[in-house]
Amino acid sequence: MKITTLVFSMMMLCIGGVSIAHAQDFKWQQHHLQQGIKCASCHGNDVKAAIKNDTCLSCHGSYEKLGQQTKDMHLNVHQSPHFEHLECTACHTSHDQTTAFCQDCHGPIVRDSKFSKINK
Amino acid sequence: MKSVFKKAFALGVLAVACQTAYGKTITYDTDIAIVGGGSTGLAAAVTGAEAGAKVMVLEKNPYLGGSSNFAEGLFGVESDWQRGKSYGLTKDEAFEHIIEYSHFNNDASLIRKFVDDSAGNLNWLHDRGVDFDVVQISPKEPETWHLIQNRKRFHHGAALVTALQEHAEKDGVEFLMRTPAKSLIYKNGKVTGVRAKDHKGNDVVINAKAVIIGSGGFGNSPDKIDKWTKYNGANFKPTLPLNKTGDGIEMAKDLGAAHEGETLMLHPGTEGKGIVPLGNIYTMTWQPANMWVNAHGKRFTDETVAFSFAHAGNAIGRQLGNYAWAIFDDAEVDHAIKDGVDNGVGVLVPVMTKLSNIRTEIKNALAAKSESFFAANNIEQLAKEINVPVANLKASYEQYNNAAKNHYDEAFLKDRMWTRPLTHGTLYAVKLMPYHFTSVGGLKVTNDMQVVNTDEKPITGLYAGGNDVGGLYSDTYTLWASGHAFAFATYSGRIAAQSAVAAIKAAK
Repeated sequence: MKITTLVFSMMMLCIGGVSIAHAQDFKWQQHHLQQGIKCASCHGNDVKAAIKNDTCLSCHGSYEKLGQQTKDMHLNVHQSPHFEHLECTACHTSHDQTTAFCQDCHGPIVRDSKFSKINK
Repeated sequence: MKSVFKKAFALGVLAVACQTAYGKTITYDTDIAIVGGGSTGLAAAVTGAEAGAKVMVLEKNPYLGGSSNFAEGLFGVESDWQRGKSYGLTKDEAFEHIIEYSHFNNDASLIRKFVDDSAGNLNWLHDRGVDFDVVQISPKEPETWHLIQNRKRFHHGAALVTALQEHAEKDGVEFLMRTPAKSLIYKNGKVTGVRAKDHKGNDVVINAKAVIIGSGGFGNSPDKIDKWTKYNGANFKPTLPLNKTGDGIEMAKDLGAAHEGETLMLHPGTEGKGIVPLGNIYTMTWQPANMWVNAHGKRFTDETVAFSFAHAGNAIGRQLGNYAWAIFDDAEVDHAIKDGVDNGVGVLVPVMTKLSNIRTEIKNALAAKSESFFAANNIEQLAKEINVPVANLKASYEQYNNAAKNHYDEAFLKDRMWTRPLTHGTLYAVKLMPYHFTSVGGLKVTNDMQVVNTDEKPITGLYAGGNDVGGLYSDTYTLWASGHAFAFATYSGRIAAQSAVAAIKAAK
């Protein structure tokens, strides 16, 4: 029975261990994990499936609501005058450091850290 | 015990395999698959869905709309908006002018149909929540530019894109975002679908009765600019990073599609240390009252060509090194601050905008030791700063100021209205370089937007529209017909979907 347990543990390590260890380096994913949100909460049972906006907005409400939370920003990243329903994962890749997609054209966008609960 | 071990081991292997396998294949079946979610693809999607077809859109970017988000107006003639302003240009006059403009190097039959339906196209969009105001964008263009009115929080083209997007979402169109199409599925002489890859690395196969290509051209691929046009991709840069790399044109060419007329919709612009994109210094590159000189320090054009951005791009692009300099003085700076600019950068910077920040931008650009902006107290010193022969620049400058004084520009016949002496205070020079809003030219199509092969036979099941289509322009975008490309994108998307729906119904 011990061998089975060992194999099972190894198996779990293969499935989850690598990703979780990896996650420690990245604030966004860590933030989700600290809030008790599991990989499967977003990914379901398929980590290779692309995550659609509906998944993010099922917790985060709407772009309008998110826009309220970032209204301090000079360019409100959640209220773009150019795009509607921009893919959340364009900025929030979760497994990487977040990056504001707007910067591709607008140049560096910085947010006063006093407004951000994430980057603390 | 043994069997439990075996099972666990097998499960472990399976789990590892799932973890390490690079994606999987996801298959869909639909009536119409659309490559590209710009205004061509969205107009096609809404048209198809309204006709009862199941529609899927593949979009490479994390947003819809592509360059249409940043374009501003659509061509139309004999429209209600023109009628409301008692503006009398006719379809026939516009058609004849467009054909002549391109020296009959364009598809007159396709353009005739497009011009004839241009007002109907605007009405179709208006019925779906897009509002317009018709304007004359420069003294050199007629009043055919139907400027999109802002809608909710969305500006310019984004107001049109999001209106169509909302209709498409409501009508059940399925969007696969960040999922670039890779190749067409071609069986027994028919296009039967499209292969793509999503951003998680999964292979996506869409089996479809028709495929419509609207991927917006190849302006973001310097490599394809090198290969497909007379320009070099390093010096002729795209205005915005929109990821348009000619995917649609390429995959149709792989099936033997014919193509023609690949070129760029040029415009002047600048960039460099301390220069704000679309800022006040940038806006000076579009002004008609500056003096332009090339690397030899010589004038090369009537600078009012700035009113026609595509022509201005041509004039600058053909100079040595593909650049030039716009020279102005403190009086022109003050004019821009107090009276506002003589020429808008489209409506991104509308005509008459007061460049209230230009003195600060000048200070910043000089402090940053910009390679694209210089100031000097006299013309000799300015020649040294911009590294052109002093004698040449001095002669050009003196001749220009004489032309201003005498109200006659013997060299290039620049209108005296815009020829003002550059003799006030400091002289400035900003580097002019050619950029492009989009590529134009590409796949040959029938009037029904069916892509044809090199024998000009339609490829069954394959349609194209927008800036992936050839036969509309010769060497230069038909700027005279303001808003031609944006109007054609929406028009051709609609026609492509109508044709696809008709073909699907006929095959039943």
